[in-house]
Amino acid sequence: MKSKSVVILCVFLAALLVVGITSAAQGEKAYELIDWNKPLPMTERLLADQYVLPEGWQEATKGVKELVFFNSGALTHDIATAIGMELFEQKTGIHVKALEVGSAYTFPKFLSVVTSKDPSVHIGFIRAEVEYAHVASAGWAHPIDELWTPEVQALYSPGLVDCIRWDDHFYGSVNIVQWYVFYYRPSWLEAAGVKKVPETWEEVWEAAKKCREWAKENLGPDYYGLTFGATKAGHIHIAMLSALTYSQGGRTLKEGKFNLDTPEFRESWSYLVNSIKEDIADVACLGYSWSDYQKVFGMGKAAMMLGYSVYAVKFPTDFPEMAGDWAAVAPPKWDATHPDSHRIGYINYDEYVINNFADDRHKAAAMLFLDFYRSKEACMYELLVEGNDSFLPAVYDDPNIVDKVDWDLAKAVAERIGASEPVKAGTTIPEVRAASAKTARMEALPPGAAYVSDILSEYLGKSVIEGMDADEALSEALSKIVQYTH
Amino acid sequence: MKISDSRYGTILSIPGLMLLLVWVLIPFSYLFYLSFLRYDNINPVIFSGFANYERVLGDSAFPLILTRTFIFAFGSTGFTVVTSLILAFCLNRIVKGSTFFRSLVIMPWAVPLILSGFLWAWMFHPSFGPISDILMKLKLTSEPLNIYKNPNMAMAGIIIADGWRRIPFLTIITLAGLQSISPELYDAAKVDGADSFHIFGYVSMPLVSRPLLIGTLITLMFSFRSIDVIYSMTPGGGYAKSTYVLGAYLFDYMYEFLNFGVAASASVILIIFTLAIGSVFIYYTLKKR
Repeated sequence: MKSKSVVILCVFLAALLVVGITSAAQGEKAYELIDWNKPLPMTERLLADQYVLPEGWQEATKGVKELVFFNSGALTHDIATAIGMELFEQKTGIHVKALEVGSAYTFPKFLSVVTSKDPSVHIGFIRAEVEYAHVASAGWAHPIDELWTPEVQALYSPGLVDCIRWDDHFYGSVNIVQWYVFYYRPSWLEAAGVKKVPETWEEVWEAAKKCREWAKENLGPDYYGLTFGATKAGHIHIAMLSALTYSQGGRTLKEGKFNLDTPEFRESWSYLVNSIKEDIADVACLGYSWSDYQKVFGMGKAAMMLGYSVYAVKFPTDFPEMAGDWAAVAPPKWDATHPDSHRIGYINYDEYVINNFADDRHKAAAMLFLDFYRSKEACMYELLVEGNDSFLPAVYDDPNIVDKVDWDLAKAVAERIGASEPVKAGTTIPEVRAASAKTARMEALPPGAAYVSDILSEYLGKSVIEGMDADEALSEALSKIVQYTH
Repeated sequence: MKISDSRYGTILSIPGLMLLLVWVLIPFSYLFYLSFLRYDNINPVIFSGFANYERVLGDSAFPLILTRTFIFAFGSTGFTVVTSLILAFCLNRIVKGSTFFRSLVIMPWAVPLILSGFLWAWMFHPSFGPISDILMKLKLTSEPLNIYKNPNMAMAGIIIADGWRRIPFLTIITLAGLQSISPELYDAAKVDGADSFHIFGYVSMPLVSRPLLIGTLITLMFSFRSIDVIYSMTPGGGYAKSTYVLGAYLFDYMYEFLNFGVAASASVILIIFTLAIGSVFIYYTLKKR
């Protein structure tokens, strides 16, 4: 009887042990099986001409056949993304499926996924400055600190790395980067009697004024000195206000909180409002989206703009009427009293985040995709095939980068997605871009940023359309913002 | 076992009632519940009583938003009704090529509202839209036409875009009503010496008024909660929010500010307004019986 009891007890304990070990094994998350620093240190894997997969990825992603993500707009316009998807599939066998969603609805779609805890879409596409912090703090994005070791952070643009750190954690990685550069039309400046290319916003003002007067008389009433976008859609007005603030050495954030009631921000606000009120810029700027105002410049209806570096590639092909009458320099500083280090560009930056409700194996696959997409191999396609900027500054430093691109693959993908055939060429305006990569900045605004953006947009309109004094309008806007954010 | 007719009817309605429960009652109850929570994705979620309602109704912009909503809904419906009536009467008279013209009238219906907004946004674009360009070429205006800088014109623009998409529906309903009128009535009116205006006022209109009224109420309800056209044409409600309506307000709180509690309370308020219009529709529908 006694021996029988012991046997039963032993069987029970053995069973308990097996269950315990199995649970412990299952306790290790699939993505923890990946050793990001093997077979090479992570920095070396990322800097290799051809991306090197980390050890343990196969076991971590076992059974994963497909990764699904939201793409902002049609894939036809994102050839580098399509190439990245193809290369990733070639390397891992995991198919990447892009759900093409209009840019205005990409975030609402992702929001629907995470609020319903839907695990079927694994990667979300979000705007870094307004949506990122909210997504991270709501617990909708999976933290990926293991991908962002200090050594890896040092490889990338400091301005960008700052944008993906929230609450001392990393939740995102790059999808697209475009530095802002300053474009002007040399023939207009010459015709209007502007002696030198503006280097400060003060000089831009004077030059724009002269250009407007000349253009109004010689070209027509709808030709302006300066153009910019200030619509709420895409929070494009935040970009312009921030760029002007940075040019004075100011910041829109302080210790993670809004810092808008500053002399720098007030000056920026007045600059924007008065440029329209004093007829230097068209009132239509209030409704221009990011593409509208750059199109306006491309169509030759404005003398100057602060725009995306990618337009340096687009002007010759999409706007032949410009006939090469454009040039680009680093963004202006505020005035001559400021150091050149204040010639800081803003960044158009969209991020990938991983759906926190996806299962662990898909999270592992998604992390792998994000890791690949920030590598030199993926970044060179963004820079040379699509004309965007490189997230990884090292790509600008490689003199043989053009020959490292698989142009046959690029052409094949272009044909498949219906994009125009890529042309084998070097980087356009390389010096301006490389310099911007080191200095460009953007701040990931805290939760509630969309409301702040909305209020600023409303009062910008009130000041321009309803004639409200610029400073008074800003003060009223700021008091509303304070009520909401505190 | 013999089942009474009323019980049999009740049993047969169970699947329908279940659908109603799943599709209407549960989501609405959840929405109602959300409207009493502080759910802003910034702070922890807690029960907040009527705070969200107070916030919406106490918002200094709310009276203006409501006014704009009414102007938009009634403006769009009015534009739709007048245009549909004209089109329906014309189509009723056309004999040759009637199928072609009817198909043509229905075409905007195939365009999603959101696309209708993008289409009209491009048409009215001050820098590269054809309307401004044509007006300037015809020397009707010396400066580019920018409807967005004038709040009234911006509102008129979104009313045209919204109405354009709704006209086919009301035209078809009115046309069906017109075609159901016996030709003998027209003949009789003509024998009595009635001219075209008399026939329109005393024969056609009274007989087409019921389908027209029902169509109008449906259009009004849809316009009242419309956002697609407004959002795509004037993102964020246009310059200085001149086209910011209740639908846009709730969309912003939901998808932009991620404040689900306030969005839910704005939704409940919108539902109450829509139900008020809907009850008129139900009243007229039941009255017909």
